[in-house]
Amino acid sequence: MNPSSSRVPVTVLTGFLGSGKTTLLNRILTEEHGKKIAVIENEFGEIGVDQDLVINAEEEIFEMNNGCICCTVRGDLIRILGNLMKRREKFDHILIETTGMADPGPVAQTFFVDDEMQQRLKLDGIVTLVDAKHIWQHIDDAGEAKEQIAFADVIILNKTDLVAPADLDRLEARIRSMNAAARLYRAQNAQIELDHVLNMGGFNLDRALELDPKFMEPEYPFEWGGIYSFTPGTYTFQVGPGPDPEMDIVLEPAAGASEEDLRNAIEKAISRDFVTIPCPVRHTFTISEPGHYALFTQHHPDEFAASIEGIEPLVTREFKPDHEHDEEVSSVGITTPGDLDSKRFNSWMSELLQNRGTDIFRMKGIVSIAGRPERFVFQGVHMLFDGRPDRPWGAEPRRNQLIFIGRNLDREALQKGFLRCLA
Amino acid sequence: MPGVKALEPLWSQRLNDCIISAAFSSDGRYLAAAEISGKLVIFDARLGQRLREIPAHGFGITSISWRPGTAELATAGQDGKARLWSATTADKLAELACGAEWVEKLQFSPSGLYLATSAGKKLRLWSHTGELLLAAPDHSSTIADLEWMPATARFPGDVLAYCGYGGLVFLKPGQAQGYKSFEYKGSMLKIRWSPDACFIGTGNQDASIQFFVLPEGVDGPSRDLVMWGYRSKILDMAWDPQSRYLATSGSSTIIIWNCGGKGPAGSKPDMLDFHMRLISELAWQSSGPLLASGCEEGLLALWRPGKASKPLATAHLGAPISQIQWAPGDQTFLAASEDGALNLYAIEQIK
Repeated sequence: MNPSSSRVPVTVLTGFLGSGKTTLLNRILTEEHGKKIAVIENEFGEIGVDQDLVINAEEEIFEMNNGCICCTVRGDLIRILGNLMKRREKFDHILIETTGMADPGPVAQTFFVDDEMQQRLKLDGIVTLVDAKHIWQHIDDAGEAKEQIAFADVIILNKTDLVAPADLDRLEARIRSMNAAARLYRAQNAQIELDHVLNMGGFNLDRALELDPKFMEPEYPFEWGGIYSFTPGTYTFQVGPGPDPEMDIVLEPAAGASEEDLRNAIEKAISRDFVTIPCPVRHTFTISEPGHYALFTQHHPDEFAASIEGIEPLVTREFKPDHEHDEEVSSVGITTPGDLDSKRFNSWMSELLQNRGTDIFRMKGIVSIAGRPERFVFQGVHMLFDGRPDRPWGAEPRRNQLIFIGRNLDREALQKGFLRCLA
Repeated sequence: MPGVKALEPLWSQRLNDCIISAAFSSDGRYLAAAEISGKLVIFDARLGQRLREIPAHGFGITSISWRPGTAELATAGQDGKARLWSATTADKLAELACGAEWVEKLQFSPSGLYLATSAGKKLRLWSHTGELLLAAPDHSSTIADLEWMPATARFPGDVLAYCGYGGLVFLKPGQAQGYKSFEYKGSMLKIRWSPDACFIGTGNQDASIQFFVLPEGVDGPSRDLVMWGYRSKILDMAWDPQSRYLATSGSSTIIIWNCGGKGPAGSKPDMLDFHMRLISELAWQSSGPLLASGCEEGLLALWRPGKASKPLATAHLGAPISQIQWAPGDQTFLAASEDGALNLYAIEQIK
């Protein structure tokens, strides 16, 4: 295989109809970015735009007759890209736009399955545009919307000007629960730094595994916390109707109103008994000692239009929900020190992919194999797995970092299975 | 390698881009070479002189085919068109709208009466003057390859085979659509009829080849078998003139199946090792015993399979070999590369 540096990076652009793919494409084709780009899109009619090239393709998906049931590829891409890569006129980057309803699996798998593609091209990343206003219509019903989010290395929440900030936070939290490894950006009219879209190194595992810090932290029984400064008196926690008929809350004294004070309050709060309040409700409580108090709520207050009347929090923080909003699509991250027994790791991985490959959309990892001076990096799409030795660990502490994104993932089984591979 | 000669070209030319297709006219007088980016160059095959340059297609050429017995040839392009040209005058004789943007394959029938074109799912048949005879109903998938049955005394008439994801279809001029098909669960990329028309080999995306054994010709009973275990998809295949051996790519080793007797079922193939990278091109002489091979590393090798397990002679073109063709008469062959090298070699030097 050619060294990855000589392979041309490919970005796959997905997103439902109306999410802003065309706007983004037009920006990429007209903006001064100094790159020569070939775009493969779906609509009929071939046009050349300045020095870039736009080729129209009919999405043709076929199954590989190789015994792997989920192994589908894009035949049109193999032909078109195979032809393009032979030309003297070289492109710095290739952008593939998929149709709104497309499952990104076949496109991604094409770069694993076909030797010619693997030798000449590298999948730089999958970018999914999300229409922040209308995604709710699809996110629960259309499997494709979930898959597009689950497969993404970068998610652009577009049209944020049409949505209230609280709804955006809620959407972001929901997306995070499905795909914790993707980089998430907010945009209006698809205005986004092109560096976030092109050459983003989505398959650069170091970057891909720089997970959202919230993803790697322990799970807490609350989604939100905020510190208030109270004087003695009676207060009302006003809660409107929301997606749950009740909510757990706890109030914990805090030393001050800094983020650190909030962090310190977390550990104390989780050992307390939570109060369960019905929703909606006007819940009153009395403060006798003046000072700072941290309130933690099981659900995000925005979901219930909840607030303490007459008083605003001084510092707030959101937490990853411990209950998956989306039971179907989720991410499981594993970070652990130690060296792996390569035989055990291989057999666990192969059994996992055999049995669960259909449900695992993406996986990425950097692991430490016992007796090997280099890091071992891998990534996969469904049952397809590509792993290779990477640079030496050097002074960096040896550890294992993996993430699985998929449907109905069993977090505990994955974690236990992986830990059994430690040497 | 000791005892292996270095092949020196009789003449050498360089085009500006990858040579995607190159072929000799049936009298051996002309050699046409197509640059991937759209230019067609006609050479004097014997001397290597450039005779004519034709900007045949705007964005690119995909394949070319000479009309047997004439100095006319057809080109397929990524502009939705196929065009017919006179090699003697460079005049455009006809322009054919093939129904979709990327016209990928085209070939004149052995009789020279028909031209078949494929563009996406559209298969069209034309007269040799460019009159549309048939626009077949859309195929179920993009047509990956097409090849006319070789002319034989035993099975007269023109029959076209074309393939894609899902299998192989046969069509005869005069019919409204394919009249016979062989289904396959995967994607077929290449079709190669044996010279006696009693076998078809298909090279598949899923790193396998499939044989269709047709002892009574395409209209008789058939059996088929699949050979698995290749490292990669099959980029090329070539039959020997006796229709006994099929040489196949699919790895850096040339794998040759023996179809004599009850073969190739249950037989072990011959394996020829020399190339270090994936074999990209294979071409057997049309009546002699020599096989030429080229790989993605740019190495070219000439073999006498069955007699020697190492190549007779080799050369290095410096870039992936994109085309190998024997000239009529089998005395010379061309090798072209992705960086535009076009060399003609003579077998005389290895005797």
